[in-house]
Amino acid sequence: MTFGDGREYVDALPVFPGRYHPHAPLTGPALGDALRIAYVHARHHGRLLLRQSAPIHLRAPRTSVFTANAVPTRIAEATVYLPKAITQLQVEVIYRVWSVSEGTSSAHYVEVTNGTDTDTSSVIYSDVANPTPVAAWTPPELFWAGTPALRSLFTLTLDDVDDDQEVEISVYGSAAVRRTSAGQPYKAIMISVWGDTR
Amino acid sequence: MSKVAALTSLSPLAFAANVEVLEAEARAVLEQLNWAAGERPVVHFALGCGPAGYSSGAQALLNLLFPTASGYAERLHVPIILADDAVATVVGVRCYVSGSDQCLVRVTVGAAVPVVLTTFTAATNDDMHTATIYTNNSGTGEIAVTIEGNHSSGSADDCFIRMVRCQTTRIDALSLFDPQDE
Repeated sequence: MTFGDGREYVDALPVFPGRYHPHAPLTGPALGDALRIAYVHARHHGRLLLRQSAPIHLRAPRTSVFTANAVPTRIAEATVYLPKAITQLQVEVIYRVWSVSEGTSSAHYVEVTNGTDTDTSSVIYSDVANPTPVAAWTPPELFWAGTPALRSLFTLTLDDVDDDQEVEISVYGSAAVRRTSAGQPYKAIMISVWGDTR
Repeated sequence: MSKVAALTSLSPLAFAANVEVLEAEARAVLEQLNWAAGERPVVHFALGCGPAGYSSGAQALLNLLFPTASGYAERLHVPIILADDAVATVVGVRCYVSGSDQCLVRVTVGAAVPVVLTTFTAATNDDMHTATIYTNNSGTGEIAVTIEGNHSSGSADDCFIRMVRCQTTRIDALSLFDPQDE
């Protein structure tokens, strides 16, 4: 159902009390207000499709990584039913990075496929401020638990993959030095994917 | 009144100032809201990768190993909260099986009778096998989802569950809750 005016209703404006007064006739604006609030409610409650955590053991050593290569590797995957009217995926990755003391970026992207059609987001690069330097790799008893957690948030608009079917969602991540493109130790902590209607 | 869930449409003029609402318009809105409520299945958990024993690797897999001998052993036990209006829960599992071994997975949702999924072999490594458990068997509220593995044939130590998912199904119009006064 559309309102036919091409507008996106993103604000849940309160319904004027007079419109639902016991003696008030049920008029179009009251119906429209109620429906718009239902729309806003639905659109602001994205459905969780994937959530995966990889808790860090307090003594997880630096060798405990998802990848140390520059090319993003798969850090989460799930085969789920994609509900009707889902038009985009919202992805959040919490992760940690070690690096040589140079400008370093993390890289993430998400891919969704039904086996025939595939939608892939662009690769999202995020600068890593003050990554724990590789020099700290010695002594080796320094652990992941002491490094700061970072966050990447991005979306994928569904184009080729339709809703109302079972799909496989994969999230990829890695980190690399910008100047040399040398891969750095990367560890994902929590990956979440929501389905949204926009 | 029969329960209907449908994608409906209304004229934009229906929302104009001082326009009286027709019965058909209120009905269209109700059917639309029913549709939106029914088409929102909930994912309780979906796991596909893990830190693979904290080792480094090209791709970390959810590495829930099957036992190396026959007999069921619990591999996952997750409490979920199943809403009162849920109709059914789908539990899907994907496994990696090596050689000519065969593995079984048994799924228990709440109070429902445990369901054994179709046998996993090396030929089904890309397939997700699912079981649909209805709420009138499992119960609602806080219930447990248990996934057990059984190495029914062979003893390789590299067979594992690599993906699990637990999701409620969409709710058909007839399964929607009745209005309280009806």
